[in-house]
Amino acid sequence: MNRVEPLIRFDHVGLRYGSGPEVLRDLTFTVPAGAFAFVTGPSGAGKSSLIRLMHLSHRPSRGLIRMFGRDMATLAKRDLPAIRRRIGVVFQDFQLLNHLSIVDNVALPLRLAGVNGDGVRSHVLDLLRWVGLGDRLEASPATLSGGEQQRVAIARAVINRPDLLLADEPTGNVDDEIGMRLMQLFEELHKLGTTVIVATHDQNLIERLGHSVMSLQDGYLYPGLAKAEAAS
Amino acid sequence: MTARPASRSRANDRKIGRGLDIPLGTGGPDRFLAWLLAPMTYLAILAVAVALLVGDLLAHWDNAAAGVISVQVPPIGDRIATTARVGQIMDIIEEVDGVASVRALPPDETVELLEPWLGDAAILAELSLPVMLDVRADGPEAVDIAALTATMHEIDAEITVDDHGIWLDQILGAAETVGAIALASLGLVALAILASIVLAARAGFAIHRQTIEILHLMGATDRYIARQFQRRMLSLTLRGALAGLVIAAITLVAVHFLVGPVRVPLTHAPTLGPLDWVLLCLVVPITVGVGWAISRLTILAALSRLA
Repeated sequence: MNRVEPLIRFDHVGLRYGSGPEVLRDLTFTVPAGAFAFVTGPSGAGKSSLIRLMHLSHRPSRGLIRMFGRDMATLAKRDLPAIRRRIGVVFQDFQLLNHLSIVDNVALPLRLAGVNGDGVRSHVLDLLRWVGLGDRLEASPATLSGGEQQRVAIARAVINRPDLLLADEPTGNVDDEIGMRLMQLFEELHKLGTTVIVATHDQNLIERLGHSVMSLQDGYLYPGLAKAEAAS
Repeated sequence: MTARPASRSRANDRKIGRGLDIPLGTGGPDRFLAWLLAPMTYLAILAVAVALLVGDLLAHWDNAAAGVISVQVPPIGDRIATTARVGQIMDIIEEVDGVASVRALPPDETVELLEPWLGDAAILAELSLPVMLDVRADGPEAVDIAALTATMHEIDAEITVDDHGIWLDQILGAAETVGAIALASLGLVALAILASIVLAARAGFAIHRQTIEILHLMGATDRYIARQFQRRMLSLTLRGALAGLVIAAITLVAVHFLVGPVRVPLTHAPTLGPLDWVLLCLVVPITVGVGWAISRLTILAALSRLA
């Protein structure tokens, strides 16, 4: 039988910070390529930690993670940048570079990928207009409101059409209208083949879009609440 | 997404991402690096200059004194008798193995040599001075000095034979010491330059660690991040080294004009030739190249410790 390997596979994964308690416990699930899934749960459930594991900023304390067909435990450090460039991330705290303009922040993933030329500029400007920041192109992120910064962070995450888009509370600081517009952007990327995983506690958003859900509580994944392909 | 008409903002007109992704030079101590490197490069260039001048001096003294023997013949009786005796001694010396030529210094040349040490030439001309014979050997050790001295003493025990060996050894030893000190100073300055660059790179890394981590998470390679530091170090080291070169050049030219007119008899005045100046100028690209390489190694080492 010809089995297609999932984009993400977690196998009994646990995570603890330093010598503290485990914040993620025994997570076992797979996410197929092209999926759209929500990760939900109350504050402190481990949503952001799960996103961190998936964008490879942390290594698990135990268990195995496979992404893009590669075992993350045995991945050489020199191979990490190439994998990371396939992942777009919207950080909860945005992680924008305040010394760069909004345009340069959004263009950063393209620059890191070595993409140059006039197409880059028009592409970046188009996207910034799409997220409603066409009049703030040269502004520093530090001068923007929280909602505007979030939109810049989202534009930066999607600019290079990543294979995997991870977003940690991407609509937490924007009003409903902008929030739906941003989710529409995620849906468009999803249609183009990007796997999208959104961590949110916004149940309205989850119900409106109707995608798979992975529910976390106290670091455990509850498969009974998930429509995603979660294995016990 | 559909393409829309470009706005007339400044962003449309400029190239994206021309600056550094890491804000090096803002708030970090590395901006002082150029100020540190200027005096260090200055000292390094002066140390190289001293080493080159000493080398020039040693080469000339070696060449000038190698194979040169001085024979002093004390005067006897009147000038005619002395001249006859000098002629006889010159004939004997010419026959000695290894002697290439013998020349008696004319009285005015002898007076000129002694004037700086004994004073007024007119008074010296009145004195009954020994006749100096300038003997040139085929090579540094071509003449058996002991045998020549013995032969001369058979004629007159007052005749002195000097091959300049003792004083030359002392002067060469002193000059070599000065040269070694200059090279040791150069080594110390080079170490100080290296340490400054390493410290500046490490400080820059620590200050901008958060930005570096964001870039890393977005897929920046270690080489990409290191290149940002290298560009910054290139600029700083170039500015510092060029400033040091300019000040050193002014110093050396000033010393040349201040010391140049002072003539010391029987010595060669060392000078910096065109090739020496090229060597001095090479300190700048070497400093810049070392700064570029060391900053790269320092940042790559620091990045290897990141997740």
